[in-house]
Amino acid sequence: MIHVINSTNRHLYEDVLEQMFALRHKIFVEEKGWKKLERESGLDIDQFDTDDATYFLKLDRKGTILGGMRLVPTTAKTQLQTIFKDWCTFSAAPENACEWEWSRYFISDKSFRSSAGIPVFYELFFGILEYAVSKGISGLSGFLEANTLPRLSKLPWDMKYLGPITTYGKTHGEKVGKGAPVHVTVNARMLKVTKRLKRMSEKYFAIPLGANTVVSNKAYDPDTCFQFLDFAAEHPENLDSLVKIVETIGDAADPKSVKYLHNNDAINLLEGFNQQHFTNGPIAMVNGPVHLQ
Amino acid sequence: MFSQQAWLEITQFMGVVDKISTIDELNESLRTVLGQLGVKHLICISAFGMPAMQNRKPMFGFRDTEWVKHYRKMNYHVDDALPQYALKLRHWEDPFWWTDFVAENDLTPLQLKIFSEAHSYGLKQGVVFGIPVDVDNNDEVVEFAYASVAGDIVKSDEIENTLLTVLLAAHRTARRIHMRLFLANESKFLADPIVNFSPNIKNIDSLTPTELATLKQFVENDTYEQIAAAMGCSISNVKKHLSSAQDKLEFGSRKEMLVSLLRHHYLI
Repeated sequence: MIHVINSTNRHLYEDVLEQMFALRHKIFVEEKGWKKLERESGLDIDQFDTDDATYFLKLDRKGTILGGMRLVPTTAKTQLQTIFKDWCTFSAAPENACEWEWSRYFISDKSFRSSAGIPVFYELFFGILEYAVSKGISGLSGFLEANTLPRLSKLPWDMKYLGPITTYGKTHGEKVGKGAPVHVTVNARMLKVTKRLKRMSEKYFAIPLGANTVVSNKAYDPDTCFQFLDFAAEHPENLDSLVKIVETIGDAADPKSVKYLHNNDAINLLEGFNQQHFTNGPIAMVNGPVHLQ
Repeated sequence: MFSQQAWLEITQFMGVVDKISTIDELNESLRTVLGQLGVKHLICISAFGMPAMQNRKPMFGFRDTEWVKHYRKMNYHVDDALPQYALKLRHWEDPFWWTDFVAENDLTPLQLKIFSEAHSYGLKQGVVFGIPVDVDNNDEVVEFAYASVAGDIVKSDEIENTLLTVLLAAHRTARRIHMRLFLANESKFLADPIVNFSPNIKNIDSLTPTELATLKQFVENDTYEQIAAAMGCSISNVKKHLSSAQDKLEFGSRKEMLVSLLRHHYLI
């Protein structure tokens, strides 16, 4: 499962985020040689690491980070709008609520695979796509390394180049690399088709469990998220209903949808999903309130 | 720096490249855009499978130039060092320029002659780009293309990056066009090796349009109900079409058919 961390639950992930900033410094500054990001603190924190940023992290049970990525809404300042602005010469970087930007993608251990044999980067990638689709995000943009660009030819995506391939680095003693700003349209069909092409049969990769504050006024820490995962693994028949509930209360954009849920039920459900007392059968959720059988 | 006109043409091309629907149209657009940069020769070749049994097909390019006519007449493809080298590329991200290539490799007199003749046809400098399209789980490249560009150009980072951007976008479009032509039974030109590389898919042109449409939905959807809803017909009809397609394509089971169709992103 991919942990989704944003302003509502980051206080529960302080340790993890600290670890992430240090890991990013190690990967991007020390290994990739992006010297501009070098900080004495040994933490890679830049101007885009604000409250607007959402982090997607793959954690193992001990809380070690295996890989991650950052998404920033284009209504806030993004890389393509500011520092990479001159590279977007074909068309300007998007700037609206349905468009987000990815950055700082990293994998700390390429050999890691989940128990289902899924590589970490697939989990991250599909987790982000799922999150985007469920949040109504219609486009993702970002800077892609040149060697990944040809592989996009085979995917049935609606993608376009925002600017030409550019050589970066050279200054500040950085290594030379190449890449281009790219925009990809995201929708449910795109997610479905890509999942099938990559043989990803798993239903959910990222469940934004930590971001639930609208109703419960409470976010969930990493341990609770893992308990949720255990519960979901033991009771796959309840997975759909649980995700529906999580999404409904997590969806701050549409508070109306919340009123169909009995708040207490939802809270109890999330607080107690690792308990056995309501696990006798599927949770029914028909046109409104949650009924626990 | 390129001229303003050249940038304008490139920006315009990148805006419409996804909507181009024929290879001829693509070639013409490329001729205009790349002509601005001094390019006189372009060919993009696609290759599938292991090196020993590669199936190479031209995807797009300028076919009727004096140089190509001469090259064909002299059967230079037998000895030309560039394609042989391009097929063994290991570092895909590094394009190689003709001058570097000639300086770094031991070429036979005939291979050197090809380069000097190219020069007399106005191809003063050239560059070859590798395009790895599909990489399997062991990092082996199973489908790739390479594009060879030449003309009155001078080696620089800027032209290398610009050419690569235009060529990657053109390759994406060309691949889509070839697949579509194949599905419409209009051409076996390129998609044939993509499909036949997987030994199980044959006789695909014997399918009726309905069977083909059902197969497409079969690849995209999880259940018969979803396929039936998408097709606007009954579930038993869906099953009938799938059985018939399965027989014609000589698959042992639905699952085998699905795996084969998915393997090459076929029909999606």
